Amino acid sequence: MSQIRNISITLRTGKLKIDLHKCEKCDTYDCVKACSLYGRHLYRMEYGRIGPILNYDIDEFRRRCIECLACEIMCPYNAIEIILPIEGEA
Amino acid sequence: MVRLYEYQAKEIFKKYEIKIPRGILISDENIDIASIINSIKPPYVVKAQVLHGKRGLKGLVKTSLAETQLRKNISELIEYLKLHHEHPRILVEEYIKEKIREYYLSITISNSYKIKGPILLFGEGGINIEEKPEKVIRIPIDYLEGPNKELITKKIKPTINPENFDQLLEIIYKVYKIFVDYDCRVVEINPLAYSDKGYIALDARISIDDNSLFRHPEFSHLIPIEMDREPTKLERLAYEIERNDYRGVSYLIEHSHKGDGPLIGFHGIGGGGALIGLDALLKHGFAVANYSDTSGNPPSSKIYRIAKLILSIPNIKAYVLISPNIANQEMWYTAFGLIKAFREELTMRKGFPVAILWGGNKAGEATRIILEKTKDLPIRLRIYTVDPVVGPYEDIYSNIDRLAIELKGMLDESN
Repeated sequence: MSQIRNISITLRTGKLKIDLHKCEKCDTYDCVKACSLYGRHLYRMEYGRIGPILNYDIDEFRRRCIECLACEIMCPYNAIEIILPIEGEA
Repeated sequence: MVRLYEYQAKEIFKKYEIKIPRGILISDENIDIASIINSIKPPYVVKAQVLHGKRGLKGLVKTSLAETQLRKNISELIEYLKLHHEHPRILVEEYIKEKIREYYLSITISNSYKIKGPILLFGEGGINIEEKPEKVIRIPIDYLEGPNKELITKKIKPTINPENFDQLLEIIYKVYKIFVDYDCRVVEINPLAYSDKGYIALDARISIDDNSLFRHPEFSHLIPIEMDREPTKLERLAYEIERNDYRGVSYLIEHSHKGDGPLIGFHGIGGGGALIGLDALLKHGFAVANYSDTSGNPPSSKIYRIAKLILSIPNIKAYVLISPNIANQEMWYTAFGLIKAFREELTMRKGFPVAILWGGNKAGEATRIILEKTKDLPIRLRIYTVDPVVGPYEDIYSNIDRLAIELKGMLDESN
């Protein structure tokens, strides 16, 4: 049984979910590059580890994330989802 | 300013013991003529509840002598309100026959540099009296001390000489108390009638200061946006987006009269330039469902939410984003927001036209990203880009024309 734990972080106005199972086949790490280029450099890659590694603890990650959506848009495996609810919407 | 309906303002007047005519509020689901006839004696005044002024001149206040005319007037006004996308609410009141004189009484904020505070306006009543400044007496009010009895007496009594002056003073104090208690910008009674039963407020207007709305939980259903009608569901959602996120600015308003051409959802960036874009689209015969703006460097999440609302407008035939200025925001953030909204909303809309015209930081790169990341969507996407450094700037507005012509072509193809 896989020991991979998915990532789920409440952001300023939404929720970030990373399905690390989908990252197993990834060798491009586009999310890491995208966050570094467009966002706040919140991820890094590490040899032998699957998917993006958070550069900060959860609170600091939440404070720094600007919800630019770059990681979600650039991910080729749809492993990252940023859920942005609209308050009041049925 | 958040304006209250006449019936809401009159409820407040009643609470402060300012006399109002006997009345019943009805809506299209609840036209109970029998209860009106049982509780109010004819003749009746039938008033459409709208947030804009000059109702008398627009025929939205009607007098009914008997039941048949009352029914006819109510149904006419309900039809009018429905046609103009207003909530069909009518206030039926008793007609005050024994009016001796009518006055205009208002407490508002004067922006004059000499005053910058509340001011009492008083004059002989009538339609458009507020537009005849020579007929209105203006008396500044010290915010801490309230209305000054001596000053009011000195200014009003010798010129207008209203009946029962002490009773009038009492009403002025009550109106000022409402003004302070509800953090108002305007409390107005026009006409304030004097009859043998004393002073009675025949009409009522209350506008509350936007910035104080949070102090009044009783008005939690209102939103602090200047509008001459109630906000639609979509406008409320857009306001919630803005309220919950202070980064950048977002705005959405739905047009109630959309026109006859093909209906499009409009998304602007940079107010003035976006309005020029909107005008150009109207000139080309498009019907525009809404006006939206996301400026001031908002995050992608905010742009995504507004784009999603625009795409949820029923029956739109195309989505247009126009940012003809050289926007001072990274356009790739706009691109990310749009891509997410398009992926969620346009996957099933085959051939849906999307036209984008933008200039600004990284507009070229944003164009490349959006083209790349939406290539699997079944939409027809056209992007015009202006480089902020090399231009050509003179082409920006002619590009809007070109965009409109191309969009028309795309829509003709769809048909």
